[in-house]
Amino acid sequence: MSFWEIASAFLRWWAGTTVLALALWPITYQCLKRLPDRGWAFARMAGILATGYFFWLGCWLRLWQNVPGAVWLCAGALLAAGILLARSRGENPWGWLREHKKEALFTEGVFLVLFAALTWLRAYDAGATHTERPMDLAFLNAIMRSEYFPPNDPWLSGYALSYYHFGYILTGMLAKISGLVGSIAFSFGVTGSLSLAGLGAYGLLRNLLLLKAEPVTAEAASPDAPDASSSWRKPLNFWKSPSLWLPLLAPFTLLFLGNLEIGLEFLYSNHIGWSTSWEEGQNNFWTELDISDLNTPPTQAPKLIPNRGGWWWWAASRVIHDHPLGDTSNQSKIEVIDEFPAFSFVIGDMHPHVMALPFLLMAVAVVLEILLRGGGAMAESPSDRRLFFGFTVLSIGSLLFLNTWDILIFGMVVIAGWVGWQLSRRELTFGPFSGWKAFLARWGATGVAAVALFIPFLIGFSSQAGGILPNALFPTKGGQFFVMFGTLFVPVFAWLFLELRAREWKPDWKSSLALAGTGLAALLVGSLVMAFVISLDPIAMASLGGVLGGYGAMEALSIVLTKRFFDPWASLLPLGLIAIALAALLGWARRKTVSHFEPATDAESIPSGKQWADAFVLILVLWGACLALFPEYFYLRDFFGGRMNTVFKFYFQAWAFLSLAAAYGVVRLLEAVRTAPAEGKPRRIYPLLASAAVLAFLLIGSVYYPMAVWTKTHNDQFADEPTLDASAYLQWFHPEDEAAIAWMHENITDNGPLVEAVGNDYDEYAGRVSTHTGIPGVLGWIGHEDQWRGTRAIHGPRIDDIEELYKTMDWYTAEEILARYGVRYVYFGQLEERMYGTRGLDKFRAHLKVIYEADGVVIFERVVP
Amino acid sequence: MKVRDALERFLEKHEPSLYAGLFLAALLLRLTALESAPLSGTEAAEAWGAMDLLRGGAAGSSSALYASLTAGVLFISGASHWAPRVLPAAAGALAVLLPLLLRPSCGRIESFLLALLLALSPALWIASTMAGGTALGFLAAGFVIFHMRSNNPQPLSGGLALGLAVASGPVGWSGLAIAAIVPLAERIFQSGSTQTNTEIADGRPPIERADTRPPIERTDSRSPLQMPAAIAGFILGAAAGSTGLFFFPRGIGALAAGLSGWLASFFSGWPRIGEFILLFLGYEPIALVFGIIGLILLSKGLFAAEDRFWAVFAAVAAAWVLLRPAAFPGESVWVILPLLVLGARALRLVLESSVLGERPVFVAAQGGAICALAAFAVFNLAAYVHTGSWLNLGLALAGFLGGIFPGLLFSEDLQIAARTSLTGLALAWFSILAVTQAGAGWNATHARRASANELWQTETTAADVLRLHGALVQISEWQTGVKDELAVAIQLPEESALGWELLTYKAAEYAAAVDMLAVPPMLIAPYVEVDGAVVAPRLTVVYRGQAFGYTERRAWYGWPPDLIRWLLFREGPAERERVILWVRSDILVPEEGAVE
Repeated sequence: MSFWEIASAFLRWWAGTTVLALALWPITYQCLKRLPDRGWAFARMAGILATGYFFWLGCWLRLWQNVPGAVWLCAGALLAAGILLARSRGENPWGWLREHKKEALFTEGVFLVLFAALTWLRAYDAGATHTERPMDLAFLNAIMRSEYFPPNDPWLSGYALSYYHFGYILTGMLAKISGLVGSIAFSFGVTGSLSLAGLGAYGLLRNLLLLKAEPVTAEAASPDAPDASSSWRKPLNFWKSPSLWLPLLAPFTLLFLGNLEIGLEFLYSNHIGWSTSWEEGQNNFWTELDISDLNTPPTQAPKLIPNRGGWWWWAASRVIHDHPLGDTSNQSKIEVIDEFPAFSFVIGDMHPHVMALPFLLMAVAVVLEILLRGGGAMAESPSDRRLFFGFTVLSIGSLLFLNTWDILIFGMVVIAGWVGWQLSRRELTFGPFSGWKAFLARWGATGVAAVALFIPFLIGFSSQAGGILPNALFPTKGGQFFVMFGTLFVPVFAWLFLELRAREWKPDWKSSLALAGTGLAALLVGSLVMAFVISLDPIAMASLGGVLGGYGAMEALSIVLTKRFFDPWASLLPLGLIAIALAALLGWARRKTVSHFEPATDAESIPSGKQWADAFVLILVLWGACLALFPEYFYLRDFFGGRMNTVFKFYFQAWAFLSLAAAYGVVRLLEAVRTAPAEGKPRRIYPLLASAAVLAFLLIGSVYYPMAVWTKTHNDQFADEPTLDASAYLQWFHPEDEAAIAWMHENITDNGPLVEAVGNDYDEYAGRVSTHTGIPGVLGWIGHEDQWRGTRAIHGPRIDDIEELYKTMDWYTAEEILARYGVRYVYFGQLEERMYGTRGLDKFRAHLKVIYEADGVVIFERVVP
Repeated sequence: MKVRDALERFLEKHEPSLYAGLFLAALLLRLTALESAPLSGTEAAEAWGAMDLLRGGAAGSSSALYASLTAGVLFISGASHWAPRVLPAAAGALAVLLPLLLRPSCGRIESFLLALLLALSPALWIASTMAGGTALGFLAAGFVIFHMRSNNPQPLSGGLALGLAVASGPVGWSGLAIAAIVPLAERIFQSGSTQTNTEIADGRPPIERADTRPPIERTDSRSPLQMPAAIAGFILGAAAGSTGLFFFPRGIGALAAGLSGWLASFFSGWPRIGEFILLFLGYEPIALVFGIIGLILLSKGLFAAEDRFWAVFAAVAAAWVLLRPAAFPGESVWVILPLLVLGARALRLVLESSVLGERPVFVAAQGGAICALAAFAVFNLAAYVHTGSWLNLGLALAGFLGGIFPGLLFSEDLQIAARTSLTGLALAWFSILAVTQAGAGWNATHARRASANELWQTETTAADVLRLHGALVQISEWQTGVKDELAVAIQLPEESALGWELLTYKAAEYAAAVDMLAVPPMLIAPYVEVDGAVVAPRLTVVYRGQAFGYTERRAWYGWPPDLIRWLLFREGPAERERVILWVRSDILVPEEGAVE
């Protein structure tokens, strides 16, 4: 693509998201009114989400088709509703924007710079050539081609998508209004999601810093006080304001920070820790740490800059892995995924966990708003309460559809609701209920409503999840855990110690330790009890034979308990965070109930802006640590059988929350360093040392991303010419297919289905036609269909049928197979020839209409009488 | 002021009957045209959209209002030529009554004149005899615009009309968009006006022009119920209009699909300036004259505030249509409407002038002479088209020039004021143009075989399609005794003009290709010639074929190769698409002339 084509596509995508942001701005402004920036940083996410929800619902109800006009209809209706609501309440969102245009434009600038930078990088690695990019592209193309929803499964004709695909729908929606094809929208789906996530992170930290700077007055704390932004102190020099630049740390820690594995790569590359006399069977630092690819001696000569060749950066996402109990030499491993956002961008798959990230951060903003509203205890007008309820329910519920694992944030919602309630010092009411009943009723109703909004998705969704199982056999090595989370844990711990030393908090250690200890004991005992119960089932024991390594159940459990005892750090580290966070939060939760409508006048009981901010970050720390701890003891049973997916999804969310906390912690440390000591007192050493340590860790982690991106983009053969078109690589590798696919885009507007050769999973050539056109194929990647359907019963017979179809010379057999699957198009190209030969081609020529033939590719059309 | 008073008294006495008569006449003119020709391709697309909605699918029409209401009509009446056109016809007839909204501010005479002009306007007449949302959009958006310009806008009805306009599709949206742009454009014109500030401020016309209209008193009742009532009306209008009074919820899909197409149309094509000019030359010469005069007056800043609104409206609408090529010709109604409003004002002024009462015999005689000269000119022009003789052309030119100047030449000698002569001349030419317009409208709507060179149709469906249908029925009756029992395979899309025509033929089956082993009794295939020979379908038995005309479309764009031929006869190069009806040889005994 030329520069102008890329720029045009970029501007169209940006313009589309901007219009949607502005369409929902009146509603966002009214809902996130306690945030200092009134939710401006989240307007884009809100606009895309709300418009996308109604657009999806209308297509699902068949009210309208999957066309751009429907999107504009929804956006227009939301804008009109928002304006009417604002006018009825005397709110002026546009006036606010005019007053704060510098800040608003700067925030937009942050997004634009991030988006442009990520898009530029993506332009050198856009092809759908590896990992699961073909799957993502297939989904997107199928959704864009579907007239209604649920969209067609591109790799199993006759069936709808069985996967949480809302992110793909939102990307397809943006592609429609931008006038872009699916293969280009695919690139923006990744870069757009990550830059929105960066914007969200920036917005969150900025709001926290502004909150922290709020003056403490009784008037400001009154429920009748004007909105938070009216007491927003404007700095004398806008460009010198710390709250403008420091929040840039948050996108850095979220998106660009790696884990400590990159530091190990440096050490490994320079042979540090590997003695020349090392022999197999000996233990050293590397074998003890046991990081994949780094636990055997280096084969290359020492190099300053690590580059083991290939995808060396992949190892950062496989820091943690398990071994069967019988594997005393640590030779065989059970893979566990510990992905983080920087890795997600490098790998570049447009997966649900990537697309959901900005909306997860918007949900975090909603959590902050819940906290600032006192968990609902602050006085609100009924219409305000209803509007915010709807906003909350949509934000939280959509995560079910975006990336079902992200619904765990609901736990954070409940915690924030409780903390806000306690901090507000007010009575909580909800309908006829008050107190704890109101608390349970409120959040119960929120949960039910969040699920109810997405019932159309849930009724057709078949999850591969099959219950919770105990992780009784695979405790994570402390070293590996620290390698994974060290770059975040160090800043967070440093900040917590800073605050504890400052004695501003009044932690309730007794309650906290009791709770945390009880929790840990419950997890441990619970997992052991569950494991014991399972061990009574001989079938279950037989299936575990491989990992038990010949040990009996009790023997295995005792080995594992010993491991946990001597290497408890994977539990203790997150537990430490939990204990400290709980102590601080519980210390604030003094039950001094004030009447619902009486403004608090006691200065001591009014939380300061800093307290609100600290409380929120502590909630992030608490929940992030819980997410990191849970997979140590339990996991969700799925197709993969082990805890791989649970660790993946839990750790990814934990990273998101802890990265925000880490960024806040770094800001606090820097402030502490800059703060002059009281008169006559020496400068405090701790902040200096802590900051130095933190910065060292951050520096190590920051090197990962640029190195990985450099390697990835410069290893690809066709990266010289930038392009955002994920299908462009076809012209180098399969030009005949590229031409045929382009012809199909131009000339075929229906949804087939088509039949093509069946290949292996992760092979970009297999299912290529349905992938790049979106026309449902009879069968695509078999293994992935196994995962999504949970069984091979539906698509298993298709494998043989397709082979028979291509190979048989008997037309009636072929016709019967074609009729069985309602096939409209038969594709015959190089792959089909390679796999099935050409003997069966003649029957197609004799009985079907040739609609395309060039360079060895023939496309037949079967006309149904 | 004798004429004015007389007109006022007449209108006061007979106004309801006059409007009723005008409405009925307009309705009659439209209804009688509905069954005259098969649906064109564009009309069939709209009609099929309504049919799909009726069948529970998505509406393919660009106008949700049209699709949902027509679905209701189809439910009651079934498919026919007139069913998809009846609602636009009713809307077009109702549009004639829109000037009643301006009556309190403009006066009886002017509003009736406007109603007359609307009734006579060929563009509106033709648009309201075509299936689609043009007429409905014009009616709804026109109501909104007129309502807002009246001196007492009602929030509920205004909101309702706005909702219906939103539901009506691209023509309605364009009208609303133009009306929204006009106030901005007015400020630009206002700043360049040569009127004094005082005049601009209070909108008073220059002293020289006698303005007998009552002052416009816009009521400013800001009752707290206004906004909610307007909103309620809007939501009701949009929802009920899109869904056919909630019977067809999927009509909202048409709204969405139409919005997509409308937005996309801003980025496609080139301005059609030539065809835009032709539209006025060929169909709306009266509006063209008003437009030219209005442009001159606007540039000199000689418009009062109310008139300026309409003049600017016309200018903005013209720019809109020209810059949005896909808008043509449907949205051209927004250029014509304001010109007719201004024209009605001008006509009123003429009628109210004292000149007509002064020398009626002279005015009548002058008018008669002008008409005769004009007829002479047109006759010679027609002769020139056919003979190519320069003599005919010269005589035609002489006739036109003579039609302009006779009164002026002799007025001084007859001691008649130039103003009287000019007034009579203007009225005469108005009459001539009115007759011309009426003829253009009649030809476009009532001719059994509408010309493909009409600007309002991008293609027409040939009357041969009716013969094709008739042939199918005859052959079926001959073979089976039942008129629609003999199967016919059709290698054309079902949702087409032919498909609509054959909706009532039950044994029709549609397929892109016919299996060579199948032997349908009848087959309709596109007419394809290779090296002068008709390509026959690859089937295993012998068929006999007969070609029928299917569609015709203009083979020129922008400007006709022969302007005069087009102006007079709507003749020009046309592309014709044909289909062949193949009948299995065992069914038909060969007749002379049949293609085998």
